Amino acid sequence: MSTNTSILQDTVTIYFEDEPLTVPADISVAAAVLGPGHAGHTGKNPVKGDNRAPVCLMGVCFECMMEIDGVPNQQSCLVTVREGMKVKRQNAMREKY
Amino acid sequence: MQEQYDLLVIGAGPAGLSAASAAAENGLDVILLDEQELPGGQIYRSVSGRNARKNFLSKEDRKDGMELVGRFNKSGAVYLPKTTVWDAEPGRVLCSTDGTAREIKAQCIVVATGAMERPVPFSGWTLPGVMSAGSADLLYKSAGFVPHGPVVIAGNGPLIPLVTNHLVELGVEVAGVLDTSPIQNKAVSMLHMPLALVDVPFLLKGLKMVVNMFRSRVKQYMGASDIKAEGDGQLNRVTFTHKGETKTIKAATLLVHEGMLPRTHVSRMLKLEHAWDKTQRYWYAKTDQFGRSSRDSIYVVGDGQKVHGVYAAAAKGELAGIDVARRLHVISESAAQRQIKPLKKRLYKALAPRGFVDAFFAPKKGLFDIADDVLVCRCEGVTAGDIRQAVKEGCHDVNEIKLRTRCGMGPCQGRMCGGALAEIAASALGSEVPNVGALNIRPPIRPITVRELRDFPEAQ
Repeated sequence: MSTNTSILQDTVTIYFEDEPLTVPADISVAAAVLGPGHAGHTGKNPVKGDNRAPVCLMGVCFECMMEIDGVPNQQSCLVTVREGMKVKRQNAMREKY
Repeated sequence: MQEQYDLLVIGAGPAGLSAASAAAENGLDVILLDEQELPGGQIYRSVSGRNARKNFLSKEDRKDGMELVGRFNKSGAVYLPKTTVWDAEPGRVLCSTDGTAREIKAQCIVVATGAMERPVPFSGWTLPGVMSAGSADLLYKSAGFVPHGPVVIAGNGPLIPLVTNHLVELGVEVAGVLDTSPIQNKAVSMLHMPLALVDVPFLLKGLKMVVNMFRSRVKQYMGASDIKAEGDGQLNRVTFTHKGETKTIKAATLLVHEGMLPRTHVSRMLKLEHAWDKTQRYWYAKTDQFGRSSRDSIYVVGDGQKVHGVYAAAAKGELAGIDVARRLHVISESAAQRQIKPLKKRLYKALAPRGFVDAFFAPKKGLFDIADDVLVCRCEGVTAGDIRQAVKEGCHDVNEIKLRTRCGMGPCQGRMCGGALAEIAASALGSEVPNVGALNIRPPIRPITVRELRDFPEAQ
């Protein structure tokens, strides 16, 4: 059921914070920005505002949430890189009530 | 597409793959849902990927994983990857694939959600650069990357020697291993040694791992305590107490590991009966030997039920698959018995060393005696002091504390803080964890969009 369109391609280029980043195909966005991207952090905690980065890489910790192709709150460890994908750190603070 | 099945399996690790394979081979219509893109679970993550030959350091593991995946691919079961379950009840599951929601009906459900590492809060654990030890393994298996060095590895559990050896083999600078295991574990575990001798090769494998770690000449600090991650917006150094002295090691990555526990969000959302394991200090779904839970038609198998390791998980999954085939009358009782007998033998052998392993790596007393200023709930910024204050003000149940403090209300829905919350509250009350309850797990157990809710048929 899963179709892998990147099978003929060894690498893809994504845009991390608007900078092109060429990474192996079929890896997760979290792995891409942690590895070749040297991202350091992947976003800020919306309550405290401090830097955060992935902890578990298996969908548990939710610290890897990033904005992917304009959609916020994506668990980047569960999303596979795709040619031309736009990835941004998530830095929004929660509004105070 | 057909959306009605005999059996729906959640999780494509060793247990889920085995359950789905056994049921499909016996003639059932089976669908298997998994969050990852490729089957294998975490232990065999990306094992069928194009770089597995390079990224699996153990040929034996790769072979075992490929066998499970190969058998599943031939079984006729339907595979639905990149799919997250966010609601379930007997007879049906609601899930999303790439942001599109759907309902899938099934007569039986096998929950095989696997294990995770026990999150234990400490000062600085939210700093980028601090990760779980298992994540380093997953990063390499799935992407062929190693964490930035120098790396410090800290904690007590089976992944400490494994990950240390792997990183050394890959040429990563490991600046130190901070062993937090209590010395009495070694003595207590020996009581379980006689039964463990049923599986000598398993014990030798473990022993070899520990010997290799010593041979690697990585500096080990036995009985390290008061571990702190420090740095300005990024990990820079690790400080700790060793033999009464405060020490500091420069580090770009700190890998922490305090053992494994079952991932129970699905089984708890289903309101299955759970029990508390006193040695390993975790909740697990109560089942019989076939994985049948307290609710009819729901099964829980593998490390998501109780952490018994990969070989036990595969055997338990297969037993559940056969039992479903038997109850839905696609195979006779005698045919079922023929399949069950060798599996029970396999399971007995796989379970034999577990008493020893569980005692050897038991979480130490006082593991959750965390300073008041340490963040417990990473998402909502709730400290251990906030939890203790809520207890002082009269909250005696974790769900009351959650309402008072927001601990467990963030995106991870208590996956990272739920255990620590209960331990800290129980300790503040001079009580035991089962007396302070467990966080209520309600659907949706994953953050979903309003559109996903809207697309779900009953809402229309």
